[in-house]
Amino acid sequence: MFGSIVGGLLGRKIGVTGSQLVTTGCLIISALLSIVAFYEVALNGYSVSIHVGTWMNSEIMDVSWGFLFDNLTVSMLLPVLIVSALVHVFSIDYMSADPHNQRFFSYLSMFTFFMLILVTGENYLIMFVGWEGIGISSYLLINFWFTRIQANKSAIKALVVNRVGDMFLSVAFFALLFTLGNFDYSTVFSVAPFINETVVVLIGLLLLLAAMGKSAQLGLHTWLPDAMEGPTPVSALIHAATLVTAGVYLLMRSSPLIEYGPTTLIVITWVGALTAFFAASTGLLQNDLKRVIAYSTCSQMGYLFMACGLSQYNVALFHLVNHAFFKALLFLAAGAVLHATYDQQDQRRLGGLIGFLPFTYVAILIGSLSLMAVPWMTGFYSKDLILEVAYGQYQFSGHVAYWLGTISACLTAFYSLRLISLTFITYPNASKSVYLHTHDAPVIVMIPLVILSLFAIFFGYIAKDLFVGMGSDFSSSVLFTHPSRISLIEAEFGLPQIIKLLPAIGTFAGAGLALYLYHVQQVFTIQLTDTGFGRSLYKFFNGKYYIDVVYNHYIMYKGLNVGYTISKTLDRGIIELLGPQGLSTSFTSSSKSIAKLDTGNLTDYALYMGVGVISVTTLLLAPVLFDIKVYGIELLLLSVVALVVVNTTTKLSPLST
Amino acid sequence: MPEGTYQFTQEFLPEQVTFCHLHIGVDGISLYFVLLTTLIMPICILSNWENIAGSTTVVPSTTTAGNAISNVNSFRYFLICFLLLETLLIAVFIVLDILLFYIFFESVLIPLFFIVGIWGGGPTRVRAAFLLFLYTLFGSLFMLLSFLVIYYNVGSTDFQVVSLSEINLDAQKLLWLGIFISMAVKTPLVPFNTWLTYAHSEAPVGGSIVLAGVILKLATYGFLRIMLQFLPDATSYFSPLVQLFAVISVIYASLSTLRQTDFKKLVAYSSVAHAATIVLGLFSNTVQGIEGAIMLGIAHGLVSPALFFLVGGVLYDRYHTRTIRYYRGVVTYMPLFALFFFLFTIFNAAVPLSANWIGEFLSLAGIFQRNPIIALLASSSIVLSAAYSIWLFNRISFGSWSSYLNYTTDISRREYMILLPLLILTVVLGMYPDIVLNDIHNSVSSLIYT
Repeated sequence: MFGSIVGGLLGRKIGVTGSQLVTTGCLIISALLSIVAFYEVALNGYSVSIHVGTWMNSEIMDVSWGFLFDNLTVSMLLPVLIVSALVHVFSIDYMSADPHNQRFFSYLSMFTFFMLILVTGENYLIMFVGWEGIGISSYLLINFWFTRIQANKSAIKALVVNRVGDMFLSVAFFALLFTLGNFDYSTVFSVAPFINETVVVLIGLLLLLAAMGKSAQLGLHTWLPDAMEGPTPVSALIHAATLVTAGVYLLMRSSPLIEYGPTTLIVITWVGALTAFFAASTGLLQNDLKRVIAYSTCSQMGYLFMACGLSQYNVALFHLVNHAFFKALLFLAAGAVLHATYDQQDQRRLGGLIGFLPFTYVAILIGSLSLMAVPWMTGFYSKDLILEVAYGQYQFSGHVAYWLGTISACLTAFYSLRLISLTFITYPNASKSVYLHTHDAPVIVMIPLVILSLFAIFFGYIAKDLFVGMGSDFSSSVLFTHPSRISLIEAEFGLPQIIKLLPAIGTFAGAGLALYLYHVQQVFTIQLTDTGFGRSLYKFFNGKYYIDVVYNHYIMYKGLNVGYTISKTLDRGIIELLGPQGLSTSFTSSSKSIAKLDTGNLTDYALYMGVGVISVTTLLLAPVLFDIKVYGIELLLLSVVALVVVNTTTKLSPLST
Repeated sequence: MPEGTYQFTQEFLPEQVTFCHLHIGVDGISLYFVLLTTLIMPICILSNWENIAGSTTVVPSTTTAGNAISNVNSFRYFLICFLLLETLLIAVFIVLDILLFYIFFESVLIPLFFIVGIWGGGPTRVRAAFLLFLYTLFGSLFMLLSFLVIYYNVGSTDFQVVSLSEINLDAQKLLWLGIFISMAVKTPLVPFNTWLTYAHSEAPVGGSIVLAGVILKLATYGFLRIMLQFLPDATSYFSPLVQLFAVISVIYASLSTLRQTDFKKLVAYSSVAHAATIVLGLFSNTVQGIEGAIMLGIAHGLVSPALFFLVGGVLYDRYHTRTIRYYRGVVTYMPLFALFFFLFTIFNAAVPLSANWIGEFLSLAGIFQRNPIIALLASSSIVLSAAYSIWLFNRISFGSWSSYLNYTTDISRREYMILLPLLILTVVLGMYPDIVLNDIHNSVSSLIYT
């Protein structure tokens, strides 16, 4: 009931928009309303579904415009709208110098609007509207500074890579329509247990591929770090809190379907674990401030996938919400840093900012600690739980996930501390003018940072019992876990102490190592890259495993080359030669050579006559002589052959003219 | 079963019911094609309003480069051609007699030949006109033969009589092949697509619009009306072949679209890809697929003209070059243009809330039920269409202002008014496609082969 107001308000804004006040005001109101909606739906347990009208129907397919507000939806609404509202507030200052403020705010609100459609839709197709809509909006937002070629490239890349995911999602829909004939969540999920398991696995895998595209999992992750070309508030909103979680939302929403295909779950776990490790290790040695955070997003998304793969959707949801808060905090604080230092993103050219930007420093520190899952910060409650659950599964893939996750946690601590050290603590490496003009954030920037910091510290503690507490029926109505795979209790009480503590220990070890390497033993760190092995290792991680290179060389160039071959060699070449061009030239040349027969020589004419008479006689007598029947079509063929023969002979013997 | 579903029927010469029976009427299938024609035609004429009329208008601009005759007379003949074309197109969609169908189907070429050949843009326009004429005429010869054989077998050329009579499978196969060649040229499917790109790039913008918007739909209509309805067994028999052709066309055309340097050709190639998707839907033998194909046909008939008008009309009128590389950063001076261009570009890539998406989704969903592999391959167009559409948009609109371009003005009121209805219709049909779908349910259901 309140949710409809939320949707309505946002719908109004995308039309004209205008000043910052309208958009920001609307979003703040919506955010407040979302809290109300959260209270109504999640805490009081009233799910709401709103039917707006029919959309399309064709034979058995019948799709309506309808919106559903259940526990999952409102839990998604909460971070989406709060972060979005805060980002709007932040942008008022951040973008104040930009001449295109209206455009920016309208894009930002449009994005939020589509995100809302995505989470509130009551069937897959409405979700798909939001799904594509956020893709398009993110193209526009990344491309906001449209004169920059890098922004253009990144935006195209983001859109196209996302479309790969969309393609698989579409195919998943086709399969759903084929097997179930319906897209409504309620229908699909109630039928899911009764259909062929292979089909469920296939659909699950297709959904996974789709989610991988949106949530930047290994293989389809390449767009995310590049998307950092957009304005920083955009990175905070899209690439931290909202867009990237859409994939996970899809998996969580489809949990009643996926659960019946165990193979899919194993694949999801593996994808998640590998992504977490891959992204964390890549993040280790990136030099761009925002890219480090981007890779950490990628890595956290891996954790979310892991949790989904282990059937612990409520844990995943919990971590998703937590992650939205602390990652948005990190990005916004990073934005504040960039703002203070003339958009210097390279960490090597920063440093020593702690004295100049104490407030921002504290914000980044809180965000990082929460990200590293330091005990009793928000991140701790969910991230550790994921790892414990992974171990509690007592299966091979669960253990692999646990170990990869734990290593990633160490790496996370390392790169977070590296970021802080390089940016804030070490010797100042920027030019003097930067330090002369640097200043800490104004009040309007502080507000979102403070609110997010509070969330990053306390939200986990407060909401833990609600989301993942023992016996909490918070999500049971929406997120379905197959009874044989409930391992929360096992994870809570059955694990040895050391396993539970290991991630935390690893975190501290990683953090300590980073501090040690960048503060105590700086010379040693520098020397590391002087050795051949160290250098190639550095190159490998800094070059993001060379995945971009592989894609560019083997997919993009090859694809474009194929396109070139097709359009030039086939279309303008062979078909042209056999088709219009070839026909017209051959007609011309053959008519010329026939004309050449007309020599004016009596003997030549006599020859033609003789040949003609002989061939006609042969044809006439052929049925009698050789016992074959001659049809009109063969005569036609024969005359064509004769033409060709005449043609070539005249060409070969120029003497006859 | 088609009896009763044709409405507003009119019979001329009712005593001559067997041969060349002038009998017209519309049903769910033809209705929207007729509406599309009548919508697109004014847009065509308006889109060339200034550059063909030349000196007669007050706006001091732009006679098309290489335009041989540009005076009042020229404009008069231009209008005659377009109005004649409109009459013939509507006639194709409403006649209920296969021989008359053939006659109108072919005579469409005559005004089109003049439009491309006389008012076309480039130096190769005459060749383009010849290609257009010969290609389609060549294909249609087989169709004429097939129609004559049908008459010979059935004893009548009237739609209703033909649809009621049984033709045996072997005969159907031959007839089918004859008609298919003609339709494949018109669609166009891949080996026969050469004429389209030439004609599109050389035609005046109005010509491109009518080509993309309506004339390609003749093939869609032909498939529906003639092949699915009169030759159901052969259609079912040959469906895999058509699907193969179509899926090759989708990928082939999408890939070559990526590499075009001429923006009108680029849009033309993307039309080829979309037309192939339409064919996939038509030959899926599912209600969703066929309805999707019709929907996509209508949507393509709205979006493709808009794109042609944007690049071939708005930009070409200002700068007289079709080469994409000369354009960059157009958004700086033409924000409204960029907005329209962006919307139509993403519609062309079939994003939800556009009629294109409804059509593409339903078509592919239909073909998936028939053959998942083909559907999977055809789905690659989802990625590729996004790639070429957005790349085109990005190259033209974004980046810094190109040094090859002069200062210019944003789209004029005339241009705005041309684009607006197309935009509104696309979105309305995307949000509420039932407007169309409800009317075609009956007609389409009768085409399903069981």
